[in-house]
Amino acid sequence: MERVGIVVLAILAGAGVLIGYYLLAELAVGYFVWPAFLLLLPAAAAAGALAAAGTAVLTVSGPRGHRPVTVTPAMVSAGEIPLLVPRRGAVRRDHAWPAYLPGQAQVDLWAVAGKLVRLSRGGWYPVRRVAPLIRELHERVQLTLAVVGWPVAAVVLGGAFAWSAGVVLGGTALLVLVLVLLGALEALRLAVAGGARRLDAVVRSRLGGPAGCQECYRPVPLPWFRCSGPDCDRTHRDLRPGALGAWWRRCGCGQLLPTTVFRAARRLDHYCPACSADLRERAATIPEVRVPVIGAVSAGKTRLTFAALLELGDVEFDDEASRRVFDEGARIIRERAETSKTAAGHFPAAVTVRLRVRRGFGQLGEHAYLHLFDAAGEFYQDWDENAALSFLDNATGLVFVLDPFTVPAVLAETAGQEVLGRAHPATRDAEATYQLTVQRLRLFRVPIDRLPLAVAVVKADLLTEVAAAADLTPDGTAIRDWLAEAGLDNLVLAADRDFGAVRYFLVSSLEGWTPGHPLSAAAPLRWLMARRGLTPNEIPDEPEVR
Amino acid sequence: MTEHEEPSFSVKVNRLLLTGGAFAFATGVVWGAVLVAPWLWRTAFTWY
Repeated sequence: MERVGIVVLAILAGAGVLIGYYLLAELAVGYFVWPAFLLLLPAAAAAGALAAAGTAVLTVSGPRGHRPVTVTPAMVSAGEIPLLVPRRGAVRRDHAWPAYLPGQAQVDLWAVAGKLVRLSRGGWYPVRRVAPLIRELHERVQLTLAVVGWPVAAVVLGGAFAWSAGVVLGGTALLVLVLVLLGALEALRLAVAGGARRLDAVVRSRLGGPAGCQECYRPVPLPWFRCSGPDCDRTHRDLRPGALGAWWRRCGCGQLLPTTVFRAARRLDHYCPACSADLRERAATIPEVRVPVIGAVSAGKTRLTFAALLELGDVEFDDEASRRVFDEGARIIRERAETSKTAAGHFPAAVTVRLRVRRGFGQLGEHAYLHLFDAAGEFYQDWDENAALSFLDNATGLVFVLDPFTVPAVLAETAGQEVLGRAHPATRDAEATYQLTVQRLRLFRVPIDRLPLAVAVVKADLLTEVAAAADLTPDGTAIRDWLAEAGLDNLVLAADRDFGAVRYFLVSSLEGWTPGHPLSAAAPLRWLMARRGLTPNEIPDEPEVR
Repeated sequence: MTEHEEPSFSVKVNRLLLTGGAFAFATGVVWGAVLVAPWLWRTAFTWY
């Protein structure tokens, strides 16, 4: 009985302890754990989120020593910034400060993210400090953790979790907010840069670009610019709007430079990337008309060139060589002197003149450059020499000088006559010269189907003495029909097929240099310039033969 | 040739914007806490 009583008492005592512990536990949960969870956890989470925001602010705007590494022009040009590494095959980027998003933003965002991870780990600091105390208590007084430690552990662990969650969720929300903000700014920047880039391309194209190098005749769509900084000799190879600036760019030396080639060309020195020759002042912004005058030996190319320039009248010169050539040519034309044969075997420099022009749009330029390439006729007769005519590749149009005294019908009539002697007929027929030039242009992939061809039938003053040309008038269609009937039907058809536009002119280099002359020597040039949207003078409204 | 040490204008402006954004975010968190706190307080101590 006694034993039974003891057992019952023990059971009752155990039950009492359990009930007491349950009541105490309920009190602990109700008065400590639950209120602590309800208040501490949101507070810890909010504190975490605020700490994330504070960390982000301190990272990007805090004391200088704590800020992330500054992305410098040297890092950009060395290709160390992932978004600014040039595409394969492109030259390395210029030494200039990048825009924020493609440059510094990457470094800033990674720095903020790294600091947020460290901040999130910091939330577990109380856990790391409290855990050894609980372990020690547990070792000294058995069941400490199970009996009294768990509410504290639950609150500490919950707080640490809440802090971490606050940092991670707050940091993520902040980063999302930042990315949305940066994305909107980047979209704006891209729109401005893209618009400026497009504007640059359109303006340069409408201005008659790309400019050609006066030394190597290569087209220079993107001239290299020298920084205008006082102590800086850096070259900016690509000043188009982009990641290094939408409308302005800051060179590594601190100098502010305009982006867009058409603006930079007005303010900075620029030169040819291929041969390093300095380009003409404002070369990329002044429209250019590059016209090779082609034709056989003695066809009359040089005389036509001089007469046309003389007729154009109010021309200016940027280089002394062109002025000398023009003065000599003007003398020859005015005195009706003999034209000396253009020396073969050397590369022909262009005669470059600056003309006052009216433009089809805006007032972007009131001048235009006219480059006339008068190569010796031998260049057009020999394939090897013809291959050296690199200026043909950059032509905006061509003048084909056709000597009518090589036309079969005229030649048949004037054979042995005195007029043929005075005409100094070309040494090779026009069709062979034409075919050789077109083959050369095709071989070098010049898009001749987009180029205009002015066919100048020269020596018109002598044609009045030829019966076969009695019906010939300065009308373009009439000239074409006459050439076709006179035996050059193949050439006429080939020209119509090969070129973007063809127009025929009847020209007298001897007499057609006076203003308003019906056999105007400058008419082919005026037409070619009009094709580029430039009008130096009025041109007759005549339909093109095409 | 002198090198510019300071970050460019674009960096400064964008960082300023980000700082403003972070402050706006923090203000939002504090505002949310102020709105929620009374309800949490009541819930914590009046459930029983």
